[in-house]
Amino acid sequence: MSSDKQNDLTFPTLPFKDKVYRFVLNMVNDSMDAEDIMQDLLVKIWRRIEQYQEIENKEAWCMTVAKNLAIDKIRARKAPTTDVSEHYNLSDKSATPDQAYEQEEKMTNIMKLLDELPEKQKMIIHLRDVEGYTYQEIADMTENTLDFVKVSLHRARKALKDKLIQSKLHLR
Amino acid sequence: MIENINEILEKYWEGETSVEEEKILKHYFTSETVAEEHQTFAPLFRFFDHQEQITYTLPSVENIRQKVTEDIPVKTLSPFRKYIYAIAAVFTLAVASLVVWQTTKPKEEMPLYVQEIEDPEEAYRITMQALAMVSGKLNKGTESISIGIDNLNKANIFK
Repeated sequence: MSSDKQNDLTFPTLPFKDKVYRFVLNMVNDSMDAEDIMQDLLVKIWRRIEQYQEIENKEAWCMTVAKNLAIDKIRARKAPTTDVSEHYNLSDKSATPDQAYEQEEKMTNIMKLLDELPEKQKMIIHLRDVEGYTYQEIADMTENTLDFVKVSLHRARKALKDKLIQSKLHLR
Repeated sequence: MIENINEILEKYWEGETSVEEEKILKHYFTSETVAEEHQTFAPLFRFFDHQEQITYTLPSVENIRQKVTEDIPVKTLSPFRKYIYAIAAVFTLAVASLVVWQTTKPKEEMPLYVQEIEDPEEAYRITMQALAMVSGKLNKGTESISIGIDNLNKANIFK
């Protein structure tokens, strides 16, 4: 498409942008990397704006593209990101400093438990428990079968339950 | 209430809850009335709830346009490279032209040195002469091979 024609177009509204960002952030555990991926996604959309406008399920398409970009980013990394908590703003602004610290510690512990899950299980549990997608939607987005999604979710939750009981996270 | 939560929670761990039931769990675990027996699992649901609140601000269209422009690699060739590429192109063209010319040019007809002999005796004599020549050449070849074999037999290395 010519640049003149592109200049006349406005960028499409992405009502699901937060979901895509959270999904990517959950995968890469780094807000800078997640923002880079979002930018790459937007560039991809912009370059093929006409084809994009014809896509029926734009949300699923964006999720799949973002997932693949995140996988590329993870593979390109030389060292894994270890301190994930700094990339999330976990503190509750209404809490006292002590409460905020305690809250942040709890969240960091949960993130660590989630990080111990296999990549696909982590991805699937996020799409279901944070974003509330149906099994079929998750299967489409992650390019897996419905059975795979159900089994992975079951295993992920079982593993989390066991880990929570083991670590005795009696935190509020 | 707690029995109901226990039931849904069991279904949740088994991966059998509906989206609605999961909302009930999330609502319960993020409230202030979580029973002591459920406290272990509360941080997990609070984490999910917290994640749901993370938002993303889209960059401006101008920024995206700029990024699109930046990502297009503009290839500029150095004068030396241009010179090398030009020579390579001319050479390739010359070789290709030569090959095409060689394969398409008409082949020159070879002259035939065939002589028809009508006299049978004369034909027999010429044939015998040709065969004798071939035989002589063959004998020479056999002799040289036998000499070669003799030499090999004489060589100490094979003994």
